[in-house]
Amino acid sequence: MTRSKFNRRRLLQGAGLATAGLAFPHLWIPREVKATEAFGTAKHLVYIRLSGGFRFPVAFNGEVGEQFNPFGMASGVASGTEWGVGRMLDQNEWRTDELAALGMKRVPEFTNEVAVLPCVDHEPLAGSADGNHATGLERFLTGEVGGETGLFTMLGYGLRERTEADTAAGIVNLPPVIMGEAGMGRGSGEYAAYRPAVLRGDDLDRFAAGATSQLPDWARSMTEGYDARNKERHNPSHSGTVDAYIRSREATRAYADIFASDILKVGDGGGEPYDGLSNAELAQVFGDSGGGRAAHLALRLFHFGCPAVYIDQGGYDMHSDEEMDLPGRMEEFVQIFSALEWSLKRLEHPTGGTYWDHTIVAVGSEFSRSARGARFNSARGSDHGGDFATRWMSMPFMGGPIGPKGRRLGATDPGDLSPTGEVYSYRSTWKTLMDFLGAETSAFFPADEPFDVLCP
Amino acid sequence: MRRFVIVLGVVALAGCNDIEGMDPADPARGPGQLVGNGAPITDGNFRGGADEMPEPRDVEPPEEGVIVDCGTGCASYCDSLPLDNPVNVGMCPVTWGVGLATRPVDRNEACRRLYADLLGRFPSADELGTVCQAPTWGETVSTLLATEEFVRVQQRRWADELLYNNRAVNFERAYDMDELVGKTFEGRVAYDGFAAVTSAHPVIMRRLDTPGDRAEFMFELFLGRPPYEGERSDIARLYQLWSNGYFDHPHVGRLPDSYIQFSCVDEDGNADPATIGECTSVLWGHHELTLRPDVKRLTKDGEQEGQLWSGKLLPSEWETLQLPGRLIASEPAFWEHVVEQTLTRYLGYDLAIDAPAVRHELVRYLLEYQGDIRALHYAIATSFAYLQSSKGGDESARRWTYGPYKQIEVEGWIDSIKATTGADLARCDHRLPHPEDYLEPGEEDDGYGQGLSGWALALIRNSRWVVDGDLEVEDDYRNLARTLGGCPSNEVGGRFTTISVLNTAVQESFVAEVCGIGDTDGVSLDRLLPGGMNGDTVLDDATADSILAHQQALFLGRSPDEEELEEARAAASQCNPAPCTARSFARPVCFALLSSSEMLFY
Repeated sequence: MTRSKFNRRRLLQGAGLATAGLAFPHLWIPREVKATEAFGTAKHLVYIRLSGGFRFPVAFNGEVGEQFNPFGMASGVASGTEWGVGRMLDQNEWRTDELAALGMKRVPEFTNEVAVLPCVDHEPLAGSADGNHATGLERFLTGEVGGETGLFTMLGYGLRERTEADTAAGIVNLPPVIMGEAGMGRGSGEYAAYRPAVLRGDDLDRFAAGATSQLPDWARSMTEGYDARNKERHNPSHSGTVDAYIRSREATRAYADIFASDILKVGDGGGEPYDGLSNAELAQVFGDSGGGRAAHLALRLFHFGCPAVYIDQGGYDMHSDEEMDLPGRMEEFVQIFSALEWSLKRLEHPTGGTYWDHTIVAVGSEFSRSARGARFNSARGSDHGGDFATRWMSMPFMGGPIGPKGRRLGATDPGDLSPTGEVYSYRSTWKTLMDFLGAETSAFFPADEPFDVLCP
Repeated sequence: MRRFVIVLGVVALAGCNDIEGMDPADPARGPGQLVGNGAPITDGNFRGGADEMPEPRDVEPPEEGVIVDCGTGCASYCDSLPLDNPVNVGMCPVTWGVGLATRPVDRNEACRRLYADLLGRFPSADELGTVCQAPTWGETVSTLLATEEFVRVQQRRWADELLYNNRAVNFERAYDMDELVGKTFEGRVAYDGFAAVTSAHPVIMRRLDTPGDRAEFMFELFLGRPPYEGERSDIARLYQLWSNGYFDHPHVGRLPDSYIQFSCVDEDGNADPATIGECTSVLWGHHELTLRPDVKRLTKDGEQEGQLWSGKLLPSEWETLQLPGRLIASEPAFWEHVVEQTLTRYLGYDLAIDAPAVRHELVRYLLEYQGDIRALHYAIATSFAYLQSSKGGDESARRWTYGPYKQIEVEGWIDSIKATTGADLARCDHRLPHPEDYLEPGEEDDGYGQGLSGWALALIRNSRWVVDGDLEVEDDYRNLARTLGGCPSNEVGGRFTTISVLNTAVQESFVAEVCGIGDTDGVSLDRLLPGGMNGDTVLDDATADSILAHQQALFLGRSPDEEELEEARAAASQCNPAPCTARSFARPVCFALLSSSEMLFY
């Protein structure tokens, strides 16, 4: 199987094929499914969740009333930016002279390379927002309440044919990776096999070196002997259980070289350049925060074919003291966002061009936040309820594959945040990202189709 | 690995329980405190733990794939058997009565399974020689059911069901619910009483958004199915009073918690004819659910003005609110579901599908013991569906004709390795998945510097989390467990048990670290060598035999068979540079055993 089989656009150029199908009914005619012009134009996705519920207008779609964005607007915004850059994106204490000299920009300096959907909604047909932590997060991670399949599992499933083809060709590519809430990787039944890897920060170290590779041959034989005998001893109906583990151990060895690679030792600060930048350089620009290290690692995982990394960042459930604490809390995210822009444009992609050319950075949260008509609640924070302020994720999208850079794709009334433009379902938004990555989306959310507005 | 750095000096810990009901050592607050404060509802001496495994009736067993039909001869045979265990009684018509045999099990195999299921870890060699050698399995199971570890395992499982998360719900509620689960599995609260309290527990109410969501959750939880739309909307009317808000905890700040709004009543608190229908269920009889507001206890201002914080509810009001659970528990399906769920937990499949009589017998048995949930666990754990060997035999779709074989939960795997090797790992506390939230400096400063609350520190120190001298939560155990699917944070459905390449890589890497493979030091060699053996002892056949026997007993709870001894001797002969030592042999053997599928499945 070749890559060209995954180019859905070819399947959709369908009149000729359909005619052929009528004439030769034995031909396989793929079911026509919605795909966008952007199908397969991205190779990687950094998907960041601002955890706890993020008050989007303070950063994105910020040109609204102060009851929604009490911090005001950023200044010195790049020309061509039409989406309202909130002042919280201009928190720059992290930006030392040294980092500035390296070329790291303030976020407002490159907002014209970011597109924003002001109104992404979990349930566009619902009467109100879901401002509940548990169910809002479920919707974010699985697309629905009680969803049994995480979005990253859907991605793995959608890419399965490509993965199988790579495996058949002897290519070992890493799967999607979660560095955050494991619910993003839910999956059972036919989807269970496509669950992403769930990493916890430096636990990546555990993958390195391949434990069995350090064993003497006689010990490796012993290890294999125990499993083989255990499988043999048990009732044949149980042998599949043990066999799955044996096969998993074999596959682990295939990954061992990857995990042992110095490229993935993001904490070591090594000076050896990979794809044009060393881990020391990346560590410098991403900083030592948990989210920064995760984003740094994400770029290195991409080197090994990983299509997407999910990162939980922050902790924005600020029911109190948001007024005082949010600016400081934003520093980490702003640095990561800037570091991604800086590094993606400098890292050389193994298939040509830079990582920027092949990568999308998208940011979301379980919901936005509300102070119910005031700038802040009585505890100088914000809450989440059923109103428009809670409802809209104003999601930014950055990277080479994104078409309408600097654009605001939709609009809200500054006075009450009611939608005055297009509202996008979150499920459609996710399917659009899957589409960019060349993943088949037809198995999921049939009522929510991917859309074209982010296409080049 | 993320560390939760608190740049503070080490401080002496002082109790901070000057506010009534706010003891950091016992923070549980909620309706669970009102029940189960007396003696157990039964004496815990359940019947059916000493059956002898029957011989199959002397007839040709039905061919594989054929539906098993118990005729009169089969029924007579089963009636003639002196079976007392309800599972055994229920499975006879699809097993021994039709000529199908079950597979006897040896003590070690059975006890390893019992320990993994009941205590969440594998038994030690000492336990295999004592607890597991009781005259009957009933005595062994009773001993295990009476342990704190058993209760702890059940608490952890209910934490998974109810998704405790201290960012979503006030942690005091999780502690309270956890205590309620504990009392239930100590036999002090009947299962239907447990359901009633659970059905209106803030730990669940606050996690969910709408009355319909709450009704649906209860159906799933206690009936094992989603409600039909009519059922959902009907039972939702009994959840109209619940509202989500925030409680300002004096020591740890604002916490999500449940409130009561006084729907469907007039200003005097009487049922309002115009709206009472919105608080009335007619699904299982006519039931109105309202509360009369007490002005003195209502929240005076803020977003919950006019509502009642659930922490101020009176016992009689809790009882009123627990109506949905009482109604659900009056349904036969309620008891059937817990039976099926528990069968699946122990066997890995629902035996009641193929042997419906098992369901019937177990429901009767559970009610015979007044809903003491321990009885159900006892009956299943002493049955032959459970206590039979998973080894040998032919492939068969009739899963009750050979023993279950399952993957151990993550914590069980880690805890077993920790217990047998002495590996230095902290712990995890399912009641408080994000302890770091309370160790981050905030506004309050009661003498511990930079706004860190001494009360909060005391809370964490009194939990099962380990806080080190730098006031950091030790997260080595948590990070490992979460990577593998355990110790969930429960932001969204948390636990998973799986075999995957990356899980396997993590497991192998952890075992290598414990055993001292490669660059790591590993655990003390004393653990890996037989008593009195020196690490420099020259490796020969006898030494290899001795090390293997020691480690197999320690980790796998059994002696090596001849094939394993041969393999060890062959390995020892290949060890180089020769002559090898006990040390250079023991650590790789440790890896071979601890990383083996025998440690992962049981």
